[in-house]
Amino acid sequence: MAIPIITIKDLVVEYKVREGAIRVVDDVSLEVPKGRFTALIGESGCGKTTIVEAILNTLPPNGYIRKGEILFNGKNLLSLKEEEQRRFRWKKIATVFQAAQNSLNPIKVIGEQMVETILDHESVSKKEALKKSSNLLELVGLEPSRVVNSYPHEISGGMKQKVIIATSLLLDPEMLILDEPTTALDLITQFYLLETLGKLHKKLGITMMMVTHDVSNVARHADRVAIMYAGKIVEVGDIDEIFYNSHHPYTIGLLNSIPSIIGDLSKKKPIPGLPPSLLDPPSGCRFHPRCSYTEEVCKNIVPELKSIGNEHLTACLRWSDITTE
Amino acid sequence: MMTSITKRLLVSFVTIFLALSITFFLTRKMPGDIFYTMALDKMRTEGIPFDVAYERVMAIYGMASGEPLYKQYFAYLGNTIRGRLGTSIYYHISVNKIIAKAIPWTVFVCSISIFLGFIIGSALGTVIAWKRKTILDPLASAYASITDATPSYIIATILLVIFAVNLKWFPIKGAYSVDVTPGFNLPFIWNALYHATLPILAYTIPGIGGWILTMKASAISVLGEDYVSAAKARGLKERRIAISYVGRNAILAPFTSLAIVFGSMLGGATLIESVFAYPGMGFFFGKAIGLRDYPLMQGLFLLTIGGVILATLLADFLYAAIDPRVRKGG
Ligand SMILES: Nc1ncnc2c1ncn2[C@@H]1O[C@H](COP(=O)(O)OP(=O)(O)O)[C@@H](O)[C@H]1O
Ligand code: SF4
Ligand SMILES: [Mg+2]
Repeated sequence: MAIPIITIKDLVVEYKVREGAIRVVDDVSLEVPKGRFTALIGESGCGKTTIVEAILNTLPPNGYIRKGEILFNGKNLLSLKEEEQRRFRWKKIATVFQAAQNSLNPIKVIGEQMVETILDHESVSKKEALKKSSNLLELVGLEPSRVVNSYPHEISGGMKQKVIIATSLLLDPEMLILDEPTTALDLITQFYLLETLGKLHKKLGITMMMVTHDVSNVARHADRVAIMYAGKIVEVGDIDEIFYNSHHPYTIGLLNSIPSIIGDLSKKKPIPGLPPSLLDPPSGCRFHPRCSYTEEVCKNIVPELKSIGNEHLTACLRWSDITTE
Repeated sequence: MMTSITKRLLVSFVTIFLALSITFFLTRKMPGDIFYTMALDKMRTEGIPFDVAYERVMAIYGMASGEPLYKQYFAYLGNTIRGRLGTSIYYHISVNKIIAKAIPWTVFVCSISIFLGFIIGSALGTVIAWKRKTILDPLASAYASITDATPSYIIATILLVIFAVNLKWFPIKGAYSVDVTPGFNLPFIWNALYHATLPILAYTIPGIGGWILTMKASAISVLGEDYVSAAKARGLKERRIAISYVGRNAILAPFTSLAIVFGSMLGGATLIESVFAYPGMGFFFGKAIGLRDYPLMQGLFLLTIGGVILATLLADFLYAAIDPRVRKGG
């Protein structure tokens, strides 16, 4: 397997709330391989954004890392000083966040916002910075001459999102993390944006990690998938392994709930029940109240994420009985 | 955009017209007919019968008593539109002349004060919002509530007593000394500034507090915007984020207030100018009210309203100039 660019080891993240602490990320270990397109998939509220925020050290004030390690190219991110972290952020790992629609200054033209991002990090001329900005805008499929002198409100939501992606690439980061980058866009715009991301990945060879609750978002472009359920990673593997050879009932349920990926519309069936509260998660395997393979043992033993060969890991006590039909 | 300009101009026009009319009818209904008092005065000083005195007073002010009210009203409208505001009862010169002399002083003092207050106040407000949790925050809040609760004439009087009467650092009254020649020369300007210092302070001291609060509130709300956290995530320099991300966006809202404050300055200075006997609009307003010099009152009142309306209009256009979202009418 490719060298991991990010290695998460036994990560535990909690939020302080009135009732005490909710453990939103519970003992998560994950490797994000360099140069590949990894998707982190799970229902809303399962802790995906929290993992991203832990990597970038941008957790909200009531959130903290209780335990664990996060390595970037083998270097422990959690031991970096604050100033190091700040420089690190955009230069090594750039991020496109969920509510990116409002992440441009409304009273500055787009070109200026891109140029100043370069100028605040590198000693190049304004002209060079503008050239680079234009090239990147072109790369994401925008017409630089149209966009550079526009204010954010003058372009569409899809274009804005592309501008933000171009902006994220300004400092040649080694990795791009996208957290639900297509939310709030219409389906067609979503489709083209995903195409653009896929193209970028191929062209630049940049490591991508995309977080989404929607499997259909990543089916075409991701090559590695991690499935998350209620604060835990339950299955990780290459995309074909996950899609056609899954050994986890939650993954299979998730895929079956989306008609366009596998099976036809008549086979579409949502997973019964609701995700558990993270304040008081179920004992043993957290999926057991909703799982159709549950046995007594599932209520008592917490399944570990372990390798089952083929760079495929799963966290199910009965994994060998479970297959994609 | 064009239609909205036309609409705004129309609204302004109607407002001015209403103001004119209300001024006319209100003064006519004021308790204690001023002409009556003046006629009594004239009767005594000139030894003429009351009726004659009354007729003469009315004639002087273009209010021939026999005229029906509507005719007087139209005459008044006509005069005002032609820019004739009548003659001051007390000063015996045209109201236009008095205003022309008073306006520069008020504009001088007020514009300096408003700018100073706005710049200092909004800079402090931004810093307080930006830094959070510094000792500056409670200090500024206390300062703002104290200066806001203290009537301006008390601030003016305190300044006068300390710095003019006791310490004698600044003059007690007036706009300039007799030994300088008014005009565009350094000694005069210097002297005028010297005289204006205490009035400016009296204005600026409470002004700063208000702008601190306004700007702080605005900046705090901008700090919560996604584009600020995104700018931080991009690793932009602190200074740039503070000035061109937070500052420039946060100032949009207070900016409209600034224009309105500017517009209201022509009428807003009465008490301060009276304390310092500073010959601006407010000073004459005070005099006009005290002496029931209502042609003067009427003229000053009209100008005040005109100023506010003009400023509101200006605010809209300026706002469009600094906020690109408004510029395109979107
Ligand atoms: N600041 C916070 N304080 C308390 N709970 C939070 C906070 N942020 C997120 N959570 C909770 O943590 C859980 C995981 O949130 P998040 O990481 O945003 O999930 P996802 O991105 O997968 O939708 C959710 O149940 C959410 O309600
Ligand atoms: S461990 Fe048991 S409950 Fe959990 S997923 Fe596997 S079979 Fe289902
Ligand atoms: Mg999320």
